Amino acid sequence: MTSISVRRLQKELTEIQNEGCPVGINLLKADDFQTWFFTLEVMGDSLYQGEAYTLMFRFEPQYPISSPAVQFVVSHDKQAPIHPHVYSNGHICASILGSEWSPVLSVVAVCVTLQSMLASCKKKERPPDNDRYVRTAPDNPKKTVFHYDDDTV
Amino acid sequence: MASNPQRRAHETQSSATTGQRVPTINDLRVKQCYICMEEERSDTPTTQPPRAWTHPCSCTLVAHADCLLKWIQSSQATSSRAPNALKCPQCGTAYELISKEPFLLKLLGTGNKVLQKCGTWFTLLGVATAAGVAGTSIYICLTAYGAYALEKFIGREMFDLILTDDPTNWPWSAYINLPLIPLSLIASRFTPTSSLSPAGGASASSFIIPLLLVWPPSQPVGEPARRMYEYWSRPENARRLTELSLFGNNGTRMSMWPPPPILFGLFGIPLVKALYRRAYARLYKRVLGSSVQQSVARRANPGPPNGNAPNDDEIRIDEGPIVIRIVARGGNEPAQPVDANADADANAPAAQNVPVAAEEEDPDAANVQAAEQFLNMSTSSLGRRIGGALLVPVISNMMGGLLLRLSKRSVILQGILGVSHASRMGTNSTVRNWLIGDYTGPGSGSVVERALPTTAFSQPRRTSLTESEPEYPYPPLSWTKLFLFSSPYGTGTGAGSARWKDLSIFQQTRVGLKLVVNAMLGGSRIWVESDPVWWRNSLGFALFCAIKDAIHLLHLYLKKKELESRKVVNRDFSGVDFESLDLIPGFLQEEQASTNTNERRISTEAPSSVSAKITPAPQHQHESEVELMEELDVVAHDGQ
Repeated sequence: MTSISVRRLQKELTEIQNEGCPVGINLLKADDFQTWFFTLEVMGDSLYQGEAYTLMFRFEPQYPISSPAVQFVVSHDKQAPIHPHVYSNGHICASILGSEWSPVLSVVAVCVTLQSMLASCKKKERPPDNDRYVRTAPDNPKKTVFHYDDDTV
Repeated sequence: MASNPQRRAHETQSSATTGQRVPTINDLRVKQCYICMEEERSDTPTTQPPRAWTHPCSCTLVAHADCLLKWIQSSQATSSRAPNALKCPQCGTAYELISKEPFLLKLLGTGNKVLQKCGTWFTLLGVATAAGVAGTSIYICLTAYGAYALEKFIGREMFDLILTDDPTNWPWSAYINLPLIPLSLIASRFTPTSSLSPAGGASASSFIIPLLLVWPPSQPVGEPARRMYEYWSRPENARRLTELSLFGNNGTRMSMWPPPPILFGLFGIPLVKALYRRAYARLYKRVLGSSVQQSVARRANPGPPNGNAPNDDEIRIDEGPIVIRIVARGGNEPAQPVDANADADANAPAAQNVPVAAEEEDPDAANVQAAEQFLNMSTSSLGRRIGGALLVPVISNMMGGLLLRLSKRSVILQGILGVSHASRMGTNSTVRNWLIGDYTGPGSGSVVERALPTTAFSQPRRTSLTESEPEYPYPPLSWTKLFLFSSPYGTGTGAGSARWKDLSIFQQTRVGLKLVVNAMLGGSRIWVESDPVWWRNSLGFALFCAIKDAIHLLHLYLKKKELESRKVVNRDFSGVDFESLDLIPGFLQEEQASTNTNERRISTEAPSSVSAKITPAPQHQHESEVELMEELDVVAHDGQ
């Protein structure tokens, strides 16, 4: 008997493959049930027009009871979007990835939320404590306890 | 519910007037759990045993009962998510949770909350005090507390002897040792492992052991000490000391009970601790069905079942406006507390090797873990930790006093406590007597009388309680050396008397060794001869820890039982637009039939979440479902 997380991710994957992702979101790689990659583009009129980012999802065996660890991929050719809630190491400060996570959300729903978070951005800037955070940040963003002090996103 | 009350009211009314039956979870053609996304169709019989479904809110979400409970449990155990744990993530309707919560569990929970409140007050008070006093005054407070703690623990009598109330008498080491007492007590509460081991272990090692190692060999101070020094400096007595050390054991009343403090501190306490921990682990396993090691491993292991779980080896204290995290950096990843006001390094528990793979299959362990998380959440007040730590001396003193009072009734207990004869008879002990300068010998010709100036001890003699030869307690080791080597009286002559310089090297070594061993075994003899307050206080504290652990275990046990008995109340789909539901064909037919029958059906229709029935049977199903309802403890709820 496979675990709940694997069966649920299998269903989500089948759904993505059958029905496709929403516009601007593309499944890049989902070879196993631990780590998935998506590309994310903001459609329409926004500060991030024409820019593409890569999102990494990491799942624990307790998924969907526990939230997935989601971050932007930062490598030699990939950058995290410049956004007040996105640190330069790719970590994202979004309540739906922490205290507001619930199993009713899905991988695609998280992608859509992040897409709209970028789309509604008014000013491209890093979070104020970016340098301090990035210096000492853990590898897994879930190990960080974020304070969600801005409800505008 | 609040989302659309108007429509809901309308719906309810219309269904009541037309006698239309409100569909329940059993009337859905396809059920998809919003948590695990598994589907179940009413027309395809499942091969496995059917799983219970529940519809806990006012929208279309449905879930497996166990999936939902798991989710609720994990949310409640995370403080940031706890407020939303009992709400539907979609429509925000509050889930109704029923469980068996015995009175005792409620009582324990309330007790916990009250203590938590006190802890918060204590924090505020502490912060205010700390802000008001700075630097030196903190030091003075610490020292004063240390002295207070010491007095509480070793008893007034010993305290007067080795420290006294007057700080001018204190040896310089007291100014270091005393302020360290509260600091180490508090520090013991903040090691990451302290919450895993049974209560008191850390306090014992940080308070009692150092205390027993440091103080027993220390020297008496103040006026009585001066008298004692004078006494032993006299040539006859100094000589006698040498003789005794060399030739006989008659003067050194070496009792092995209560155990010598230093030995007890070095070996006794660790041994008792180890034994106790084993016993605790066994009881824990017996009561909760999951071993302590497992729960230790579960916490030490990364990937807790909660989403936004904080770091593993950390202590997180959440107290209204103040959030403090103490992080143990043991792993390869540097932890990053964004909101940390304080973080400190500590050693990570090294219990990684215990297999945790069985976690999924072991509901017992999972429930124990959940229960522990619940209790942890409600016991992590800063004030409670520090206040609790600082109360250790007072508690041991009180428990010691209690034991002493009890021992008046039981000879066995007297033996165990090593209550001295003197204190049993209600009179002062030997040490007390000479402390207050009222020491009297048994009769003429005693060493004391010959040795001491009669002016100081010329009160009428009392007959002593024992026939043993009364004398000043033997001086501490450091003094002995002083007498032997440099006493100006040491040259006194006497037939058969041994003088230090007359002894051979071998004899000198022997005397020296003997003194060292005596000091090791008995502390200074003062500790042996006085009423062993420290001993009964240690026992009292041990007893207190055992009781506290027992209560904790009981609380855990009851909480675990409560978690096991939980059920989320199932609701029917009143309030939801029936059109949007994918109902089984049988429902519509039955609905038509039921419009002709009485309306009271609505209120008695019970949703049976476990029932494997695919379509509700028409008429007589009524009673059987009510029966089932009682059996399953499911509450009928049709939203009216």
